[in-house]
Amino acid sequence: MRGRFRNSRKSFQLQVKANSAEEKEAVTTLDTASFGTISYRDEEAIHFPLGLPGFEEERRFITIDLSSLQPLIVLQSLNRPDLFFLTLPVEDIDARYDLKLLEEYRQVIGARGILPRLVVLAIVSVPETGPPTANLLGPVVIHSAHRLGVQAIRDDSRYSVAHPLALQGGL
Amino acid sequence: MLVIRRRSGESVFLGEDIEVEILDIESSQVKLGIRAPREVVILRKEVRWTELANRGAARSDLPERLDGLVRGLR
Repeated sequence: MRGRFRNSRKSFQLQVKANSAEEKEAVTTLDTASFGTISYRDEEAIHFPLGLPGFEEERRFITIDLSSLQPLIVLQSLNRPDLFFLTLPVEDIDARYDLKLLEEYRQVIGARGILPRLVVLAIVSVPETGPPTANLLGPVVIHSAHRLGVQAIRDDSRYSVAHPLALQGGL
Repeated sequence: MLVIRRRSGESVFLGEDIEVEILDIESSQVKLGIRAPREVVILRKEVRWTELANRGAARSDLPERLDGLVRGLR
């Protein structure tokens, strides 16, 4: 399935709500090493039925959008507070990114028919030396309404698993 | 690399327990059937590449070069 999609930055907002008598939502906290203690409602969690390649046991994540890190979005494991990935919305890397969602992945997130609103993030690698790169061959695709995610790996060579990131002013 | 030619319907054995059969040949695509024990992992190359990329990308702390990276992306 190919299609257009729009990432909305609103999709990433991690809503931290103060405890109040009116609010009866279940809120969980997670003590992360890098982002302090974060609070999230269970509905904000994203379920990854297949985990991620290399991390098949990691089934629950949340996206964190901190103004200090923008445009990077953090994909934080809810299972392991010490595990996260830095990601970028694919359109920040290639404004005309053409998503190819194979049938097997479409089924995992329940995307049928007309492409629903999907969040498409490329995992960024920042090596000790050398340029940071983004995986455009296998982006993380999140069905916001279903709260389901998968890393949808293409079967063509149109995009790279290690696309070098163009940085203003170098790194 | 061992290079071998097979026609549709023919097979290759890898070791004792793995058989790769050519099921169908189209102009630009080959359909393979693979019989192997459950514990043998069979992956598209692109999935293996992503596995390696994920392992390299996984973090427990923010990179030292983060400020430069964020500034460079804005």
